[in-house]
Amino acid sequence: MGEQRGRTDLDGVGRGPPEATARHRPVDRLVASMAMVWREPPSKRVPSMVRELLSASYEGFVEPDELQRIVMVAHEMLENLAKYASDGQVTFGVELHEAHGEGGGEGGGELVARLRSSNVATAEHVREAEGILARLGSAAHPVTAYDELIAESTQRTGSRLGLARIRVEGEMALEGIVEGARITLVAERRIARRRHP
Amino acid sequence: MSGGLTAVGIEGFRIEPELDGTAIAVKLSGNCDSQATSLLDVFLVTLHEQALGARAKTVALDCEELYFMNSASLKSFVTWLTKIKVLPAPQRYQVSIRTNRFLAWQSRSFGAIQRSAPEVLALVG
Repeated sequence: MGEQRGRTDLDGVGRGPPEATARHRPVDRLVASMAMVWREPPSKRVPSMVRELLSASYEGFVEPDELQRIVMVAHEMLENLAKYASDGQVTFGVELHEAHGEGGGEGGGELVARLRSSNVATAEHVREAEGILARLGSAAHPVTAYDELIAESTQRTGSRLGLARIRVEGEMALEGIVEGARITLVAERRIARRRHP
Repeated sequence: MSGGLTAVGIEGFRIEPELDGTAIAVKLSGNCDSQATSLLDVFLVTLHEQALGARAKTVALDCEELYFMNSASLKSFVTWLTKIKVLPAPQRYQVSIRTNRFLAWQSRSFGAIQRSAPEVLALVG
């Protein structure tokens, strides 16, 4: 099966060329990064542990509100990995880069936060994720799709709200890349560097 | 302990209810994530039954010391509020949630919940 993409964008996120995707948008220097690899799905305890690690590691780089967004997005991605990853390598990573262009650069005020997860999942779960990304991408405003998904959540097992929450509450551009049974999610947002660490 | 409602908790998360006549107050503190969601689910079912039994007019949640909530918990709140919305008017009670303005995620998450049930939920703080 060829590579398929589903992407939701956000005004003002990433000021690179129009054709740029969250995965390829130009950024400059790496400020901080964290990467994890598992040979099997992570345990349910991992999201909470990583949340605490991220909070402690990045509090000096970004404003508290932005850190809360990053931590929430990381948590939702990791919970999805714990719930839906099947056989195969599971990866998760967070990077902070100096932003390219206006507002970025060394000493500038902006960073780019990029969070990435990748896992193999059942065809059903891959289709479900693609469907949610498509709804978020095609809605007149992602908040509308989020509110609809919230209303529908009471009728189904599991909330299925994580991706929409990343997009709307995290206010992040969200890209889904499907290669066979593997789904890779990339969430990205320009954020203000912390002024008074 | 308040009627059928009791304080419950696991490491890092606690729910403490208090019943006073037709008003119920509940304090949530800590991190409500995947390990706490089932506790929250069960508590909200009990809370709803208790509120109906006590003919409660108001349920006030204090979330000022709630530091994190996952999307499954968000669904738990929406499920509870949906049950209140469909009650006949005489049985319906109002819910308020006190938020912490220093935790900006709360206005985003509880704001989303509030949009699902504006007729029964008010945010305070």
